[in-house]
Amino acid sequence: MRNNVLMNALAVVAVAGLFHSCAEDGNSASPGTNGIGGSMARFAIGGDHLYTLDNNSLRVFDISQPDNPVPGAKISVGTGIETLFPYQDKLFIGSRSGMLIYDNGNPGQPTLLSRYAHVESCDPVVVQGDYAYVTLRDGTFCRSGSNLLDVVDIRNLQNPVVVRSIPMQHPHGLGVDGKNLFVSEGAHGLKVFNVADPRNPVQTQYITGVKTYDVIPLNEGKVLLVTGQDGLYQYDYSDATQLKLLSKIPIAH
Amino acid sequence: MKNSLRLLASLGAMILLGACDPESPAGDVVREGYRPVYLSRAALQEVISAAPRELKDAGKIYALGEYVFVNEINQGIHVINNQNPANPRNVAFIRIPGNVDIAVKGNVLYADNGPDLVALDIRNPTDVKVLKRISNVFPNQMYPPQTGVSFDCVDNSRGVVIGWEKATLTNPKCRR
Repeated sequence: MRNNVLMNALAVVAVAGLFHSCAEDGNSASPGTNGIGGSMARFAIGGDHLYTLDNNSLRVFDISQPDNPVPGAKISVGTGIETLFPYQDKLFIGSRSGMLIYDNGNPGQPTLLSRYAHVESCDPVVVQGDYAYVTLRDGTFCRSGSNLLDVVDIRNLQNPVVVRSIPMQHPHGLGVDGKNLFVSEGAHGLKVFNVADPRNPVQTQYITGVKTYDVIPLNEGKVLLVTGQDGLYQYDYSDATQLKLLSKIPIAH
Repeated sequence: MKNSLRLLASLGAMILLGACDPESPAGDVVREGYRPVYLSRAALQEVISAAPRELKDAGKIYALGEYVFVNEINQGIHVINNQNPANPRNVAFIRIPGNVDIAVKGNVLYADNGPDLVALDIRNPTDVKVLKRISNVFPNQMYPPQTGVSFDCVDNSRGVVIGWEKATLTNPKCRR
């Protein structure tokens, strides 16, 4: 699920069907009208398959008849699995020990392509084009680790290479839409980067005073959904250097 | 304070007694930790639309067309009509005990419902219908997400574990 990438993949996929007809360079191949999850999701839909992650397994359900999901393969993916991001015919899995890339060419039976290991931390991942963006954070659940935004060159899927590592405060979910990359900074707010040069994200705005957990950029309408401890916020990002708050639904806790 | 004293006393007693005999009334070990929140099978399967309610303990989000779904951790899904992002409307709450994750294809929403996967017809979010349930497809929660903590061991005869709550435990036998 996930994210953003909307632009490319999902949007297309997703939305194309139903609600609008967006998408210029979509590449994902699934027909129909899937929704878009945040980068922290562990459920994802690709075509006629639903993928789910639990603590140590990736499970595949055949949903070619949507009202009758049928369980299929169960693949052991190790421990500390955090997030699932389908992109084109690949599945990107964020885990406490790094990013795993599965080839999903045979959608009923994903196979491991590579593992980009780094320090132990929690790390959601989103993908656009030849690059994956990964946040790493420290904290109790994530064991030790660092607070970073990593840019990973995935042109060679067998050998992902980190090309940039940007220090962050306490990053969580993230989303990318074209040249805009949005990163939740937990209690520290929301950061916006320009990724026109994907290897070199440039911070263009930093919104403090909001607690953020995850984001979904809806490229149709340029609306950014942001969740956090205190509210569900929506921003207009048609000018990505100057996000405009559209609404907030308070969240109790 | 009282707890700490009791803990100290217990630890002292343990040392004196030469280890942990949980049966020994004087040797109770009391410590902070987590205990499982159980739900009966019948209660777990009560997946139903309810009136909209205030957002609380928000987890994951999911966007689909004019709707935004916001998970309330282990409780279910708030359905937001987001046709106008400047004025989103909270229109329903889908009660799904033990829910954390969702995905949607067309009119069908897939959700974890504790250890089960359910497929829901959401054409009318204020009156969802369970299309299919696949029982026990996900592992039972046998331990809390936190590490380095004590917890009461799971007793599967008491129902399905849908979460963990902080608690003062007496003689907890599980730790991770």
